[in-house]
Amino acid sequence: MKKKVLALFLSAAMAAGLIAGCGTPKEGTSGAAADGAGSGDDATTVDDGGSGDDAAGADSEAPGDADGADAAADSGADGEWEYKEATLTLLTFPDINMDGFNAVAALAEEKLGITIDIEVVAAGEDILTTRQASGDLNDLCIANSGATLGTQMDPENNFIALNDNAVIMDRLDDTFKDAVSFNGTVYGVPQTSGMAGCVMYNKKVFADAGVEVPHTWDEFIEVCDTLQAAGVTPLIGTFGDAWTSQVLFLGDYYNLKSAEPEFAANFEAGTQKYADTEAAIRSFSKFADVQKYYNEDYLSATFSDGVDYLAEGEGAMWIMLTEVIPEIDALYGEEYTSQIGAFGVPGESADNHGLTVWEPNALYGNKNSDKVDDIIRFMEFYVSDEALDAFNAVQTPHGPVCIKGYETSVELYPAVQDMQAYIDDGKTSVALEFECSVIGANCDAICVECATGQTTAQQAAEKLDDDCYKAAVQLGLEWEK
Amino acid sequence: MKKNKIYPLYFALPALLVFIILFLVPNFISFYYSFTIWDLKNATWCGFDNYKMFLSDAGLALSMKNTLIYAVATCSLKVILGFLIAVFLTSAIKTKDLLRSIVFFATLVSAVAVGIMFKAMLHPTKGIVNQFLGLFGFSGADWLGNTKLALGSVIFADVWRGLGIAVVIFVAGIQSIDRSCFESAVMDGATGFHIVRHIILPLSRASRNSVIILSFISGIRSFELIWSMTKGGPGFATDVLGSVVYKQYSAGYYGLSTTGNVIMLIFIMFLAFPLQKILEKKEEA
Repeated sequence: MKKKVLALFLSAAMAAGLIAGCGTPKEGTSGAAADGAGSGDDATTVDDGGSGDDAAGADSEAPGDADGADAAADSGADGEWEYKEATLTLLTFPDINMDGFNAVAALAEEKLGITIDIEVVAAGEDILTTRQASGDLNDLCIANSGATLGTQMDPENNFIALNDNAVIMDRLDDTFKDAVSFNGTVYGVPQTSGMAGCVMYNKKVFADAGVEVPHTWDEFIEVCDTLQAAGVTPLIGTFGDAWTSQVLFLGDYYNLKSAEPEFAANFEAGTQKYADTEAAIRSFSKFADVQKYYNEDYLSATFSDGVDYLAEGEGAMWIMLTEVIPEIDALYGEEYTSQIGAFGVPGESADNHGLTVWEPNALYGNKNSDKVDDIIRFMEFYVSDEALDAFNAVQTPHGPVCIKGYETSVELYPAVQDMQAYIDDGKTSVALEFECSVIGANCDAICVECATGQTTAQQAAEKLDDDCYKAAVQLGLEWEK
Repeated sequence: MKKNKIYPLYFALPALLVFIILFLVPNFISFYYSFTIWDLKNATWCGFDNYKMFLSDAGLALSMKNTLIYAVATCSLKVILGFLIAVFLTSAIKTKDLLRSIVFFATLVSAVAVGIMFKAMLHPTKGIVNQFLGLFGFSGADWLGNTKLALGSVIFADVWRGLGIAVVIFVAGIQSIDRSCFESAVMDGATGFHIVRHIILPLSRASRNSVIILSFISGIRSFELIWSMTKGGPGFATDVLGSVVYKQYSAGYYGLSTTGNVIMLIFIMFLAFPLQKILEKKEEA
């Protein structure tokens, strides 16, 4: 008898555990009425803003918006801000420099009464899609602009459309608007300044070796040879973070576009492929040209190793995004950033030496949040002169600020001034991902494979075509192989 | 009388319920989704297109090959090394309890932590392994960057981590061998080698089979160590089925990655069931 009671008790306990485990009640259906504040699942929540769910056990009870007094107010004009206390949650990723954002958030707390509860998620960006699907998306998130907005983020169902908001729309520059638009609707504001994918070089190392900035690819190879002969590592490779390998290929897009002006449109239409475009194969073949110039540990070195190598002159050049300059500033200071210059990935002709630029990450608002008004209030503030000044005071721009009519008063980094020269000459192009919605997911691995000599340029181009085809099919884009 | 010996069916109900809800139902659902283009909200039926796409992938052959190399290599190394260590730990040595704990310790560390640790140790210029080799005048390799060595390095880390379980199973198996076998063998003048070869080896067959099956399956399913050490790279050089599926998932190809999982399930079943049958047959013989 005792055994029977025990067995019953145990099975009851098990059933209870089962129900508690998988039956976490979720308000409404998935996708609707997301809470944001609670459920900090696998992420680290910095500066927890009053979502008191640290009670032991499951966080099953619906978070009760203790602080989120519903706001239905219109925001004031520039300069004078409506003050209403609210807490918004924000999703961001470890690679994103948050110094400027934090400064704006501090100012917003003071002027708008909006506290930003920042959550840094160390997982990949797939967490964003997963949260969208489960209805757990934060009030705000920082994510890519460009093609991935439409292909991976389902903006129509998740993000606040900004077209009717004149305060924001009047501020955004047109190229940026394109980068955060999907089917003609604008969804985001620039989280930081734009940047270039280019060759950054250490001026001191260049001067010591007596070399000048090259303007064609052949000159570039000569410079590498001279530097190597002088006992300097010509080129920094940081393929331990595979994404960094793409910058040579993607940053060469200016040259691809010069040779094939219609490539993006044709590629999107499905009439032209990487593998049958000579200029695209040329972009890949540049990996083979430079393989012998990399640092010894180029396959294991990471992005942060690269920052050190460039700043300390252990390598002469690094083909990277200009966002690395503020990193050097933060770690080493102005003395070092003044030594860093930048030039576009050289092409065939010295007369047409241009630069490939990237639009910045965007700040998107969750349209299913119950604090939409507060989110818009914050976004309007975020693009105001006041906020931009606060941002730039702590995080100097690493490229053009995508706001119409805004001039920063801070002194720009020399590398960014180099970059500005290309912009003034009109010799820039936005990266392919802002002109074409079909991009593959494995571009980084394909680049590393090509850079390590496992594949030829032709094979890499074919692989990228296949990868894009896979993306198009799986993400439901209308695109033919 | 006989009927009373059988437990009533409802005793199995809680466990059965867990099994059905958390295992069978998701499996059947995933069979469905593997035939669709799925964005987690809407699924569009696409027939066998996902299967065609997965199986015609240029990198599939390499990842299959890597998976098999990985599974066979980790499995055989764990069996051989695990057996030798277990023989050593069941012999008459003084600190065997302590040593057993030390050998088992690696298993307690999470795979991702082990991966990060090995990645740091195997760094070509800053890693402790190459610095140690440097002391003796050897110039170490780029263990994870060199496409020919990378998979081997991960296999090494996997064996280091998984050896503990193999040893524990072997120790249990060896200890359950009847003492009288050893005593009579010694009386007949058997040497240590004879005892290992003709008593321990044949009589620990059951535990050996468990180790083979367990480590082979975990080798085929391997993902955490590969992902934390190389992310399938450089390029695709160390991609295994698990990492291919994960990459597809994280790119938002939910339908295709589900297809990959179904294929992986079938792949494992096709390898593991016959293997178990063969091993069981030997056990009975």
